[in-house]
This record gives sequence, C-alpha cells and structure tokens, in this order.
Amino acid sequence: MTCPPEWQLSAYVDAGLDPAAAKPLELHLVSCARCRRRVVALRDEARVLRDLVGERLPAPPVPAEAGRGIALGLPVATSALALVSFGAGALVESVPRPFRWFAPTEELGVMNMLVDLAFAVRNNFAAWFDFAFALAALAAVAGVAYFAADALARRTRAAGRAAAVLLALSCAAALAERAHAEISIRESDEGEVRVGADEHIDGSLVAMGESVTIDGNIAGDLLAFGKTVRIAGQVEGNLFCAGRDVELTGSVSGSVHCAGMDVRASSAVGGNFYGAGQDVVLDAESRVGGDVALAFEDGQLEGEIARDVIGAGEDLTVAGRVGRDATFHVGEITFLDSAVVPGKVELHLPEGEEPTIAAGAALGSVERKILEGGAPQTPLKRISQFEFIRRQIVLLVSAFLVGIVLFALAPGMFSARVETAGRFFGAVGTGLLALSALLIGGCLIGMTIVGLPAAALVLFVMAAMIFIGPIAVAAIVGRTVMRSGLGDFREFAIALGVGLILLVILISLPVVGVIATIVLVLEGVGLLTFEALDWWSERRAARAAAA
Amino acid sequence: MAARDASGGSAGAAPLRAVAATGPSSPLDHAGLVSHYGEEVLRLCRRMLGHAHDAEDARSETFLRAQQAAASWDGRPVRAWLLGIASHHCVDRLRRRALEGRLFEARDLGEDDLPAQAASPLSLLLARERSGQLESALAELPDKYRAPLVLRFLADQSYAEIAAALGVSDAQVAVLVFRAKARLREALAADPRRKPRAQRGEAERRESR
Repeated sequence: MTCPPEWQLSAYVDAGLDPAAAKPLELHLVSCARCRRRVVALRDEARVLRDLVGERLPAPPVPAEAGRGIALGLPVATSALALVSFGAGALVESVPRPFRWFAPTEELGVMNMLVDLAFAVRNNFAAWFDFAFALAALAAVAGVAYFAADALARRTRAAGRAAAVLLALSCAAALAERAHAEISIRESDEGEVRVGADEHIDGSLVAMGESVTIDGNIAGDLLAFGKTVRIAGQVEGNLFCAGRDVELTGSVSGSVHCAGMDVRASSAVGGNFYGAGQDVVLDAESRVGGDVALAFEDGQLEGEIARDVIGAGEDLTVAGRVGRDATFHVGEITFLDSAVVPGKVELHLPEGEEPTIAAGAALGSVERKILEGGAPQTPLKRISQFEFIRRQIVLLVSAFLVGIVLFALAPGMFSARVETAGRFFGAVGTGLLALSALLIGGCLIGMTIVGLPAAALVLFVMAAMIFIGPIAVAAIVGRTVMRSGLGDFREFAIALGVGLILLVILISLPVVGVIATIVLVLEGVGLLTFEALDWWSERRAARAAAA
Repeated sequence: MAARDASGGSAGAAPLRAVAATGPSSPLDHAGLVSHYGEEVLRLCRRMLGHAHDAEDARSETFLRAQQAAASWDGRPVRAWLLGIASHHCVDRLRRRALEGRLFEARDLGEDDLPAQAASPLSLLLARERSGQLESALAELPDKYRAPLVLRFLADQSYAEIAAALGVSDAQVAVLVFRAKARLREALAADPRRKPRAQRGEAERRESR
C-alpha cells in the first residue's frame, strides 16, 4: 500500500475516519515508520490546537493537588528553590574569574540545565520530586529531632532518641510507598529491556538494562540507562537517558537530557534539548521546540531549532536552522550552505583559528571572540598559552593576599594538621558532607518565606569555604615543605607562598589537575569544618569552666 | 501530557471539570444553565464568530433557543447538547455573513485540490511558546476553516456532529479540518522571524529531499 494522503492521517488522529477506512490505515501504520512519525506529530499538533482554541495558551503550570506536599507547601518551596538556584547562579557568575577554583558549570549551560531540571521534575515528575523533597525535609527534621532528643536524653536517657528514630523510619516508609506507586520500573541486569510498539505506559517509566529499546508510548517521563539506548516511540513527558550509544528517533513532548559516547538524535522534541557526548549529532530530521545545549568532542547540528543554541567542544559542523541566537565555544567550526542563524552568532575560537563559513550560509551578526583558557584544546597547548598563565598568576596572588589577611584576622584557622592518611580522607569526607549539608540546608532555609536572606548567607558561606579551604591546605603543604611552625608572620607568609605555588602547579596539570582540584576543595572545606568544630567545643568548655 | 489533558490538568480546564461535576443535570434549570455554561458558550461563540460583540449576541440567542428547546431534550450530556445548539446558531450566523449565504464553495470541499506539500505539523508545536502568534494566525483564518476547527477542538465534537452542523459530509469535514490545519501551519512556518524569506526556498528544497 502506498502512503495515505495526509488529510486521511489527520482525520484518523481526530477519530474522524470510519472503521472501514481506519482498518487498512492502521495496517499500513504497522509497516511504515514514516507515517507513524506523521501520526505522532499530528497528535502533538492536535494537543496544541486544543489548547489554542480552548484559550489555554500558554499552558499554565499544573495546579498542585490538595494535600500533596509537606508542611511548607510545594508552590512556595518550588519558587524559593528556584530563587535560591538563581541566586546561587548569580553568585557564581559574579565571582571574578581568577577566584573560581572550581567551576565546572562554566560555559556549558549546566546551570540552565539544572534549573530546568528542577522545574521539569517538579512539573512532570511530581512523585519523585515529592520523594526527594521529603527525604531532604526528613533529613532536616531528623537533624532538629536529634538536637531535641539530645537535650531530652540528659533527662530521659535513651527514650527520646528511640522515639525520634522511630518517627523518622515510619515517615520514610510511608513516603517510599507513595513514590513507588506512581512510577513503573523495568530492570534487567544482562538482557534487554523493551517496550513494544503496541505498549502504552500510563505513568512514568524507569528502564535499565544492557540494551534499552522503547518503541511504545510513554505518557509520563522516561528515564533510560543502558549500554545501547534506542528510543523510537513517543514520550509525552521528559526524557532522561544515558548510555554508550544513544539513538533517538521517536518524539518527545518535554525536554531531552541525554549523555553518551555516541549520541544521535533525529526526533521531534517539544521542549529543550541537552546533549553531551563524544560524538553528538542532531541530524536533519530533528526538530527542537526550545533551546539546545550541547557538549561534544565532535558535533553536528543539522536539524531545526526554534530558539537558541549553545555549544562547547572541539569540532562542530552547523548545517541546520536555528531560530534565534547561537553561541559556540569550539576549537574548529564549519557552517555549511544550509546553515541559518537569523540572530547573533557568538564564536569563541582559539587565537589564529578562523571559522569556515560557506557562501550559502545565512548568519545574522557574527561576533568573533578569542577562546579564553582554551578549554577544548589539548592540555599541553593550553598550558603554553599566555592567557592561561596570566590567569594562574592572578589566582596565585589573590589567594596569597586573602591568606595573609585571614592569618592576621584569625591565625587559628591555619592551625590544622594532617598527620595521618585517616585524617586526610576524613577531611575529604567531611568536606563533601559539609558542602552538601550547606547546599541542602541553604535550599531548605530558603524554602521558608522569611528564609531567603539567610539562605543567601548560607550559600555565601559555602562559596567562601570553597575559596578559603584550598588556601588553608596550601598553608599546611607549605609548612610541611618548609618545616616551619605557625608562630612568625614572615614564616607563615613564606610557607603559604610556597604551598600556593605547588598547588597552582598541581591543579594546572592536565587530567590530574581536575581531580586534584576536587580533592583540594573537599580537603580544605573538611579541615575548615574540623577547625570550626574544635573552636566551638573549646568555647563551650571555656564557658562551662567560667560557670 | 495527554494523560494530564484528559484529566483536565491545565488550569483552564479545571473549572470546566468542576462545572461538569456540579452543573445542572437537565436543561430545565435555566438559571443554572446560564451560570454554569455561560462562559464556555461565550468562548465558543467568540471563537466561531471572531467578534466579541457578535459573540455576546450569539450567547443570549443560544440560551434563548435552549430554553425553547428544553422540552425536546433527548437526555444526552447537557454540555454537549448546549454547545451543539450554540454551534448550530453560530454556523447560521456565519452563513448569513457569507456571500449568497454559502459558507463553502465546491473547491473547498474537494480532495483533489488539497495542498500537495503541507508544512510540517511541528510548526504548530514549535510555535507553542509564542502563543500570541498562534492566536493571530487563528484569528486570520477564514470563517469557513476556523468553524470546523473550533467545533472539533473547543466543542470536542466528532466529525459526524460537525458534518451535521455545517451541512456537509463526514469526508468533507476531514478535508476542511485538514485545510484549516495546513493554513495555520503555513501561517506559522512563513513567519519572518523564524525563517528569512530568502531562505525559504532553500529550506523547502531541503525538506522535500
């Protein structure tokens, strides 16, 4: 059978075809992927039309069901969380460049992705959001309960603690059961996870297996993880997937978040597209209704994108149409004849590298910038660049000055010592714990209406610890190398300088540097936390002695 | 998302669902009818007729007719019954407005003259974010194409019901609805902000490949 004319498909989607005509058409759909795709697209269109003529555009957020959510009320919590995230983003943005020891979120649209993710989870994945939120809330409640129980325990001994633990456990059990009910999970350790073309999954699905194949229809969100992930069906919520080979040919009404060695998308995406991988291809068939953010070694952009594009990587070919602006941080870039970017094109390329633009490419205003720091270049080339060295020197000097000022104000801060490996790893763990506690704590505090300034303060403290922590470590390294004590101001300055130089060299090394940076920050924050705890217990002891 | 729509998930639909739950169960309760369905009937009339002033008129006329016809109510859902009256009335008005009282010409209804290459259905999906543009594209649609679209997607009528209201056959409704969709897509795909005019030829060549 030849493909039916599109008006018949349209009538079929609107349930307007009489059964005698619908039957052969359905038979044809089984064998024709092209018509199936058109039917899927027509269904999406029908949904937009229903919203449009029903005057429900733009689609307002889903009203929270009564009784859903924990004490504080999810709407308030969500907006507060968003505010805190935006605040944290702004905070990171406002920090001068040399002061960022650790900023993996830079330039990759990761911040946008996180915010988008938070909203996507809240809107379309309410059960999981509730669950995660409940866990965080539970942790906070447990913390408070612990202090209360501690106070109680002085009078009633163990009973208070036992009660708190029981309360926490029963809460967790109730929540876990609720979250489980709304999401179906399919797992397979070795074999294949498959959702057939005739299957329809009402809620959200989590699929994990060596190979994951989705041909059916998922009404909610889809989380897919496997060595090979192939999604040819229709996902009406958001898609989160990761695998070695990721292939998307179906349609996704929400946003796509995917990562893999080899990511190839030729699907229709209603929301945003976030992709990361070694080879990332948005082929000519792909349509994206929102923004696109890509991180890649080798990227190809051929489809049609309704809004902005941001891309970072080594080598990029652009052949598709972008609705508005485009920003690229790449080593090499080629615009083919069919490339269209009506808005601003911001190109960050290494010095001396020129973009290849075909005569037929229609680009708006092209703005050429020098790629700073040379992130996508080979590490050795990067180190030999003047810009990079200058940045490290500024970092060194600023850290040194801050260290000296801190020593003058509070020399106790640098008294920590790392005698054993246990202490070293203990500090790393404590640092991780302290940072996550501060982050979650900041968000939780921010969720109460009055708490926003306090939340900003908490996040500021976090940022400060991230910067100061490594300086404290540098001081220890320097003192160890120079075999000096804490006593003399001059001695400390020399030790700090030596330590900082060693550390800056360490974090500038290729590959090792990134790991070193992370360990360094965690170690530093952990040591600062130790010091703070010591200081606090000493003060309490002093007070007790005074009394 | 479809699941949410079906359950009346968006805020616009939520009150309607509430109405359906508590609205009058028979058209004999005229005051209840007006207070529960007044808004929705007005929205349908406004969409069908395109003028706010005419729509007010059409609404009062609808409820008047409903009162007169209440005795002959056949027991189907009150909302569908009422929207049916409203759409018949609006179609009458559109006919009066049209040349020689004919809403459709023969070539609107034929399958042979359909656009050979309609723009992709995705252009609507992609334009969802720019609701103002969708809105104006809908408003600029000729009455003869907007009417079936509104009956299908606002009043939720089946092709058979639309055919009865417009006085055409079921298959002709399919053609009309498709023409309406194609027109909308075209209006959105031709939007100068998305696709510079000079690039369109090339873009279409690429699509047809």
